[in-house]
Amino acid sequence: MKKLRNMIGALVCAVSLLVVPIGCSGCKSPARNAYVASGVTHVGVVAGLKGWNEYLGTTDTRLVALEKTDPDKARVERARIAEQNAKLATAYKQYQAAQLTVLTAAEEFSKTPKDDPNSPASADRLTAAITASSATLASVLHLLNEFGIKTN
Amino acid sequence: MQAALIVGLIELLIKEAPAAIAGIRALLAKKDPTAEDFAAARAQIAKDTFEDLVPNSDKFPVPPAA
Repeated sequence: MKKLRNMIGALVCAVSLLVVPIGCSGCKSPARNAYVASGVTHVGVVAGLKGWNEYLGTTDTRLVALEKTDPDKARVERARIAEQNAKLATAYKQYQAAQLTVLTAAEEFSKTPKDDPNSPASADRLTAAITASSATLASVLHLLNEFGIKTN
Repeated sequence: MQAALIVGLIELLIKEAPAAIAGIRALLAKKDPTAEDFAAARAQIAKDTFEDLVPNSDKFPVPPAA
Protein backbone atom coordinates (compact mmCIF):
# COMPACT_ATOMS: atom_id res chain seq x y z
CA MET A 1 0.00 0.00 0.00
CA LYS A 2 2.93 2.36 0.53
CA LYS A 3 3.69 2.11 -3.19
CA LEU A 4 0.08 2.98 -3.98
CA ARG A 5 0.08 5.95 -1.61
CA ASN A 6 3.35 7.28 -3.01
CA MET A 7 2.02 7.00 -6.54
CA ILE A 8 -1.21 8.74 -5.60
CA GLY A 9 0.66 11.55 -3.89
CA ALA A 10 2.87 12.07 -6.92
CA LEU A 11 -0.14 11.96 -9.20
CA VAL A 12 -2.00 14.62 -7.23
CA CYS A 13 0.95 16.99 -7.44
CA ALA A 14 1.63 16.30 -11.12
CA VAL A 15 -2.02 16.86 -12.06
CA SER A 16 -2.14 20.02 -9.94
CA LEU A 17 0.72 21.44 -11.97
CA LEU A 18 -1.25 20.83 -15.13
CA VAL A 19 -4.55 22.26 -13.89
CA VAL A 20 -3.02 25.67 -13.16
CA PRO A 21 -2.24 26.58 -16.81
CA ILE A 22 -5.84 25.86 -17.81
CA GLY A 23 -7.03 28.65 -15.58
CA CYS A 24 -4.39 31.06 -16.85
CA SER A 25 -6.19 33.69 -18.87
CA GLY A 26 -3.18 34.50 -21.00
CA CYS A 27 -2.35 30.91 -21.95
CA LYS A 28 -2.81 29.64 -25.49
CA SER A 29 -5.33 26.93 -26.44
CA PRO A 30 -7.25 26.18 -23.25
CA ALA A 31 -9.00 23.46 -25.19
CA ARG A 32 -5.69 21.74 -25.89
CA ASN A 33 -4.64 22.13 -22.26
CA ALA A 34 -7.94 20.65 -21.11
CA TYR A 35 -7.51 17.76 -23.55
CA VAL A 36 -4.01 17.00 -22.32
CA ALA A 37 -4.89 17.44 -18.64
CA SER A 38 -7.91 15.16 -19.04
CA GLY A 39 -5.74 12.49 -20.61
CA VAL A 40 -3.00 12.80 -18.01
CA THR A 41 -5.55 12.69 -15.24
CA HIS A 42 -7.12 9.58 -16.67
CA VAL A 43 -3.78 7.82 -17.01
CA GLY A 44 -3.13 8.53 -13.36
CA VAL A 45 -6.58 7.52 -12.16
CA VAL A 46 -6.38 4.26 -14.11
CA ALA A 47 -2.99 3.56 -12.54
CA GLY A 48 -4.46 4.29 -9.11
CA LEU A 49 -7.39 1.94 -9.66
CA LYS A 50 -5.11 -0.81 -10.90
CA GLY A 51 -3.18 -0.40 -7.68
CA TRP A 52 -6.44 -0.69 -5.75
CA ASN A 53 -7.29 -3.82 -7.72
CA GLU A 54 -3.92 -5.31 -6.78
CA TYR A 55 -4.60 -4.50 -3.14
CA LEU A 56 -8.01 -6.21 -3.32
CA GLY A 57 -6.36 -9.33 -4.73
CA THR A 58 -3.79 -9.62 -1.95
CA THR A 59 -6.37 -8.78 0.70
CA ASP A 60 -8.72 -11.46 -0.61
CA THR A 61 -5.93 -14.04 -0.35
CA ARG A 62 -5.28 -12.98 3.24
CA LEU A 63 -8.96 -13.07 4.18
CA VAL A 64 -9.47 -16.50 2.64
CA ALA A 65 -6.77 -17.76 5.01
CA LEU A 66 -8.26 -15.81 7.94
CA GLU A 67 -11.69 -17.30 7.28
CA LYS A 68 -10.34 -20.68 8.28
CA THR A 69 -9.24 -19.51 11.72
CA ASP A 70 -11.50 -16.55 12.51
CA PRO A 71 -14.46 -16.41 10.11
CA ASP A 72 -16.27 -13.65 12.01
CA LYS A 73 -13.29 -11.30 11.86
CA ALA A 74 -12.77 -12.11 8.18
CA ARG A 75 -16.43 -11.42 7.41
CA VAL A 76 -16.35 -8.03 9.15
CA GLU A 77 -13.20 -6.96 7.35
CA ARG A 78 -14.48 -8.19 4.00
CA ALA A 79 -17.68 -6.19 4.47
CA ARG A 80 -15.68 -3.07 5.37
CA ILE A 81 -13.55 -3.35 2.26
CA ALA A 82 -16.63 -4.03 0.14
CA GLU A 83 -18.10 -0.77 1.39
CA GLN A 84 -14.89 1.08 0.56
CA ASN A 85 -14.88 -0.45 -2.90
CA ALA A 86 -18.50 0.56 -3.49
CA LYS A 87 -17.70 4.17 -2.51
CA LEU A 88 -14.75 4.20 -4.85
CA ALA A 89 -16.85 2.78 -7.68
CA THR A 90 -19.40 5.57 -7.23
CA ALA A 91 -16.72 8.26 -7.11
CA TYR A 92 -15.03 6.89 -10.22
CA LYS A 93 -18.29 6.88 -12.20
CA GLN A 94 -18.89 10.51 -11.23
CA TYR A 95 -15.33 11.31 -12.31
CA GLN A 96 -15.90 9.55 -15.64
CA ALA A 97 -19.02 11.60 -16.35
CA ALA A 98 -17.23 14.82 -15.42
CA GLN A 99 -14.28 14.04 -17.67
CA LEU A 100 -16.57 13.39 -20.62
CA THR A 101 -18.19 16.77 -19.99
CA VAL A 102 -14.77 18.45 -19.94
CA LEU A 103 -13.82 16.93 -23.26
CA THR A 104 -17.11 17.90 -24.86
CA ALA A 105 -16.80 21.46 -23.56
CA ALA A 106 -13.17 21.65 -24.70
CA GLU A 107 -14.07 20.46 -28.18
CA GLU A 108 -16.90 22.99 -28.39
CA PHE A 109 -14.56 25.74 -27.23
CA SER A 110 -11.94 24.77 -29.81
CA LYS A 111 -14.50 25.07 -32.58
CA THR A 112 -15.82 28.48 -31.47
CA PRO A 113 -14.05 31.43 -33.14
CA LYS A 114 -12.71 34.02 -30.68
CA ASP A 115 -14.85 36.77 -32.19
CA ASP A 116 -18.00 34.67 -32.02
CA PRO A 117 -20.59 36.09 -29.60
CA ASN A 118 -20.88 32.61 -28.09
CA SER A 119 -17.16 32.47 -27.29
CA PRO A 120 -17.41 33.81 -23.70
CA ALA A 121 -20.22 31.40 -22.87
CA SER A 122 -18.25 28.53 -24.38
CA ALA A 123 -15.22 29.48 -22.28
CA ASP A 124 -17.41 29.65 -19.17
CA ARG A 125 -18.77 26.18 -19.86
CA LEU A 126 -15.26 24.82 -20.22
CA THR A 127 -14.16 26.47 -16.98
CA ALA A 128 -17.21 25.13 -15.15
CA ALA A 129 -16.62 21.64 -16.52
CA ILE A 130 -13.00 21.70 -15.41
CA THR A 131 -13.97 22.90 -11.93
CA ALA A 132 -16.53 20.12 -11.57
CA SER A 133 -14.08 17.58 -12.91
CA SER A 134 -11.42 18.65 -10.42
CA ALA A 135 -13.87 18.03 -7.59
CA THR A 136 -14.67 14.51 -8.78
CA LEU A 137 -10.99 13.75 -9.27
CA ALA A 138 -10.30 14.98 -5.74
CA SER A 139 -12.98 12.60 -4.45
CA VAL A 140 -11.42 9.60 -6.17
CA LEU A 141 -7.92 10.47 -5.00
CA HIS A 142 -9.11 11.23 -1.47
CA LEU A 143 -10.76 7.83 -1.21
CA LEU A 144 -7.73 5.98 -2.59
CA ASN A 145 -5.49 7.84 -0.18
CA GLU A 146 -7.87 7.30 2.74
CA PHE A 147 -8.17 3.59 2.14
CA GLY A 148 -4.42 3.27 1.75
CA ILE A 149 -3.76 4.88 5.10
CA LYS A 150 -6.32 2.78 7.00
CA THR A 151 -5.09 -0.50 5.71
CA ASN A 152 -1.42 -0.07 6.59
CA MET B 1 13.45 23.61 -3.04
CA GLN B 2 10.08 23.58 -4.73
CA ALA B 3 11.70 22.70 -8.05
CA ALA B 4 13.55 19.83 -6.40
CA LEU B 5 10.30 18.59 -4.89
CA ILE B 6 8.56 18.69 -8.25
CA VAL B 7 11.44 16.87 -9.92
CA GLY B 8 11.39 14.26 -7.18
CA LEU B 9 7.67 13.74 -7.55
CA ILE B 10 7.94 13.37 -11.31
CA GLU B 11 10.80 10.92 -10.87
CA LEU B 12 8.64 8.90 -8.51
CA LEU B 13 5.78 8.93 -10.96
CA ILE B 14 8.07 7.85 -13.77
CA LYS B 15 9.53 5.08 -11.64
CA GLU B 16 6.19 3.78 -10.47
CA ALA B 17 4.24 4.04 -13.68
CA PRO B 18 6.41 3.80 -16.82
CA ALA B 19 3.47 2.77 -18.94
CA ALA B 20 1.56 5.80 -17.70
CA ILE B 21 4.39 8.08 -18.74
CA ALA B 22 4.36 6.65 -22.27
CA GLY B 23 0.70 7.61 -22.55
CA ILE B 24 1.36 11.08 -21.18
CA ARG B 25 4.14 11.65 -23.72
CA ALA B 26 1.72 10.81 -26.53
CA LEU B 27 -0.78 13.33 -25.17
CA LEU B 28 1.81 16.09 -24.85
CA ALA B 29 2.80 15.55 -28.48
CA LYS B 30 -0.65 16.76 -29.58
CA LYS B 31 -0.54 20.39 -30.75
CA ASP B 32 -4.18 20.96 -31.63
CA PRO B 33 -6.51 18.05 -30.88
CA THR B 34 -8.99 17.36 -33.63
CA ALA B 35 -12.61 16.27 -33.38
CA GLU B 36 -11.35 12.72 -33.83
CA ASP B 37 -8.90 13.17 -30.94
CA PHE B 38 -11.65 14.39 -28.64
CA ALA B 39 -13.92 11.55 -29.71
CA ALA B 40 -11.15 9.00 -29.11
CA ALA B 41 -10.42 10.46 -25.68
CA ARG B 42 -14.09 10.28 -24.70
CA ALA B 43 -14.33 6.73 -26.00
CA GLN B 44 -11.29 5.68 -23.96
CA ILE B 45 -12.66 7.14 -20.76
CA ALA B 46 -16.08 5.59 -21.35
CA LYS B 47 -14.47 2.22 -22.12
CA ASP B 48 -12.51 2.14 -18.86
CA THR B 49 -15.32 1.02 -16.59
CA PHE B 50 -14.70 0.46 -12.88
CA GLU B 51 -15.49 -3.23 -13.30
CA ASP B 52 -12.85 -3.58 -16.02
CA LEU B 53 -10.19 -1.68 -14.09
CA VAL B 54 -10.92 -3.39 -10.77
CA PRO B 55 -11.91 -6.98 -11.64
CA ASN B 56 -11.15 -8.07 -8.07
CA SER B 57 -14.22 -6.07 -7.05
CA ASP B 58 -16.24 -9.22 -7.51
CA LYS B 59 -14.38 -10.74 -4.57
CA PHE B 60 -15.91 -8.02 -2.34
CA PRO B 61 -19.63 -7.84 -3.07
CA VAL B 62 -21.59 -5.45 -0.91
CA PRO B 63 -23.47 -7.59 1.66
CA PRO B 64 -27.26 -7.34 1.46
CA ALA B 65 -28.83 -5.01 4.00
CA ALA B 66 -29.87 -6.83 7.16
